Amino acid sequence: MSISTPSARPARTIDGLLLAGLFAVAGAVTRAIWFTPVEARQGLAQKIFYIHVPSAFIALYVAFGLLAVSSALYLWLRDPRLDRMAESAAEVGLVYMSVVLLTGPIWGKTVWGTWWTWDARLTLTLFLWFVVLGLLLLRQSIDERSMRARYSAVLGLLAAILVPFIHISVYLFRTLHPRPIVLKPSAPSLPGSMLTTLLISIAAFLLLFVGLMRVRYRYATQRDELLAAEGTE
Amino acid sequence: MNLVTPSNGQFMVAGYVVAGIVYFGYTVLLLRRQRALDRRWRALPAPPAPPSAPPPPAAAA
Amino acid sequence: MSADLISGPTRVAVDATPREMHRLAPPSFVTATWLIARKDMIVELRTRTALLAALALSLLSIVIFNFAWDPTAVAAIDLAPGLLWVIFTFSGLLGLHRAFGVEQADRAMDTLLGAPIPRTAIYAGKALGNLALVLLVQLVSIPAALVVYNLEVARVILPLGGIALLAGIGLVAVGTLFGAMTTSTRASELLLPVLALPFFVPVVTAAAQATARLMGGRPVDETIGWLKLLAAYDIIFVFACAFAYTVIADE
Repeated sequence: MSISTPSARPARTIDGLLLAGLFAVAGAVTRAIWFTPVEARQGLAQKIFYIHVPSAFIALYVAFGLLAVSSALYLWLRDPRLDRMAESAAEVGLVYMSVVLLTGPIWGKTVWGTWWTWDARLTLTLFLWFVVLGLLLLRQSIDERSMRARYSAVLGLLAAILVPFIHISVYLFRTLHPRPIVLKPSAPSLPGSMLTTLLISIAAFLLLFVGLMRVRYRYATQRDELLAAEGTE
Repeated sequence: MNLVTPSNGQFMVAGYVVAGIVYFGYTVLLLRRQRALDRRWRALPAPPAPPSAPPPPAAAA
Repeated sequence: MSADLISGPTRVAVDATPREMHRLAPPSFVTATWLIARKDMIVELRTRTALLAALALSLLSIVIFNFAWDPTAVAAIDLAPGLLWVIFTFSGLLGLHRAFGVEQADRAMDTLLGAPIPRTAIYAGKALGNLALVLLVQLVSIPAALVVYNLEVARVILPLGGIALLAGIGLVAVGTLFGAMTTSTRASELLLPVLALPFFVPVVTAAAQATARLMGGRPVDETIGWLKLLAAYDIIFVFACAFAYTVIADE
């Protein structure tokens, strides 16, 4: 790989896609706060829903899905690009999961009266947060690139296998421990303009995710090239 | 304003602000890491002169 | 001990009888597994560091927790099941971490990896050795807990043993793999629990819930659900971690 022409050109400005994502999110937030009706029973705090649900969807299905798939594919193909994809998905996914875990209790306090109730999706997010954090810590503690990629891919795959077990455990736990009736914050029967705002929010946060992934992936590529170049000095 | 229990609206603001801090903060972190990497890249000693590639053919006049 | 594993096929026999030929072949998976497990158990029984550490942690925790709550407010039978399996997890982690210190000295792991035995046998052997350690600790801890907390022993001791076996397999399947992974990294003592604990949660949950129902004299089918989960976890993760070990050991 030639070091005189790096495939990732040092960017002077913010990546266009990331900028678009940031503006899209700003737009979605504006619409959610000022141009969407207030929910009758939950009041203003319900509007956290427009950040919480898109972030949860992207964190659990897109980011973690990418992590699991690229880990599995790396074990099969051993392509370093898959490892960089996994690394990026893990880090950006952790950010999205953090938002889910912070906005969930803030919203939950107004709806449920308590900060935490072991809600199925929040619990799964909490577990994945720990697992992904562990994965990033593991990566940080291994310097050799091939070993780091292999170990990380193994952990990613095992994490994917763990997910159904967490699901089942939480389900069994909850059915045998009946909880008080809980308002279902993500009821599918949303009035029209609220549904539109939700869809716009999902699209915006997805765009932001793609932007962040692109920047993060490029960073990983450039870092590996740099290390290879420095290593040969 | 009730000083003991935050109002419903204040919870909403808290939620949005917290999310904003996390997302925006991570974006800033990414950009700063990128900038540090760029600095290290520029600090690399100049590579040996690459083989000169033939210039692309000029567009037909 | 490792010499047995690698010296076999290098001897040349001209007029070998079929019986001698058989002895020259590389050890089978089962033999290799057993040899490795036996080696680990012998080393552990001689030095006893991991065993005593895990046992001490377990028994001390059982005693300390006795002072941590008000027995007039919460009955022992409500608290003990959860306690038992949380302690099991942490003493297990301690034992697992120490168990991998065995190969660290003199890079003995390289010798093991150089032997003509399948990687999965190394994994299975180490896991079996760890399982023996964990079960040994439980053999002392469970009766101790039952006695200290004045719980009815006779009816539950055998089913509890069964739960301990299932939970032990799950713990050891994942713990052996993660122990192998973290032993050669920085901050391995912290990394092993951080990585392993999320994976232990289904095990601890199922074991604690099953134990609670068992002790509470609840109908059997409530317990069976959790035990099935535990068994499924064991089967799936033993195979997954055995496969993962072949990837890890690919140095």
